[in-house]
Amino acid sequence: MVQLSLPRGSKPTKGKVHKAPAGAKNVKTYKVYRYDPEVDADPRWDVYEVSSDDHGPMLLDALIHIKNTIDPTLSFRRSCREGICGSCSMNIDGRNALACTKGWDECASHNITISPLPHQPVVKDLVTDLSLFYAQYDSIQPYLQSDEPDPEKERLQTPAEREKLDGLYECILCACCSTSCPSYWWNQEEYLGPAALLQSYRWIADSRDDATQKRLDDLEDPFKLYRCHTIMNCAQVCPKGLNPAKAIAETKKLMVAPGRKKQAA
Amino acid sequence: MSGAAKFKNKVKISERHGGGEWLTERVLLTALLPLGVWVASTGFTLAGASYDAVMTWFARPLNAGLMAVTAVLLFGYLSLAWKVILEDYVPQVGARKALTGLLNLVLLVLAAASVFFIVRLALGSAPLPAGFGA
Repeated sequence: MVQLSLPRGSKPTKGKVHKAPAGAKNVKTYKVYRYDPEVDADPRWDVYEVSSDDHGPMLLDALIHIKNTIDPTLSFRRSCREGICGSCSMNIDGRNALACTKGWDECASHNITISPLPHQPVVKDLVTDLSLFYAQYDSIQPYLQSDEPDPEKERLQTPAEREKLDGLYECILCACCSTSCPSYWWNQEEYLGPAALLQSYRWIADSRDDATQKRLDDLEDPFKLYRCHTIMNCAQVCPKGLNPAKAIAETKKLMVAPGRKKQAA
Repeated sequence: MSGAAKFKNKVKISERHGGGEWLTERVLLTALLPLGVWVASTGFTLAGASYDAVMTWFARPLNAGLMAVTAVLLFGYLSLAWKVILEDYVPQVGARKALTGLLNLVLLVLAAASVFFIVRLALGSAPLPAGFGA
């Protein structure tokens, strides 16, 4: 639902400032959102001054350096550190991104603000509760549904059929797109969001899948699908360069295509 | 409009409609684009024209007909557009339904009034019946 201002108890206050050691060079300032709902009354901004000479080139390197050497209480998710697992998605300088593929030198100023993915419940610091996001992904039945018996080897596709999956299968479910979408902010209880809809179209477009009409039926809803207003934030922030809005548009076109066979509810 | 939405594992169950409304929006908008240009160009053409010239323009069945169609399509499109805005920003289902109903009523009245006045102009009458206004 629409929230025009932050609710009580969620406005960040000023937090601790961790100064860089005297004589440190190439110092960048990281303003990091800190909040433990079980302990803290309000979230706060902690500031860490870190010499870029002390860690690797990515923002995740900076965060790991902060956690290892300055403040072990800082919480964030990370795993592969190469843009494959999608764990370290967060909001960096006002834009969702993966901390592991975003270089600190890509940020415009020496003051870098890092906060959790927007409009998600905070578990702690930069860790958000994505259980609804995963439930939405689960709901689109992200697996092959074929009427054909299992083949002895693989199910074949022509190169043209396989090409249709390019730009779809690469999604790593980092949630950068969904949590940057204003429609998802306002109506995430009912709108599936760009990530789940892109994944749904990935199976709709798959020539080996025979559940296309059922998948479309399950999506046809004023909120689940049609809350997408082509705002395009999803395409702008996707760290894999995908375009969920295009996948959603293709789904909308299929929804009213002449050959569509709508099944009874 | 979404009534009492049903959920399974925290995810909404499809209402199995929405495609028709989406297509209608696009069709209406596509039709309104050339009609809008036509109305605007007509406005420029008739600006400063005499009362008789305007009445003569409205007396042509094609002009009056197209103007009435434009009005009906415009208010139809506004109805769908407002519905989307209310669905986006009014989370309470009851309030959303009430506001949508009220807006549809207003738009219906405006569409009917538009057609009524266009027909009167086309028939050579003053826009308002005798006894109303100046």
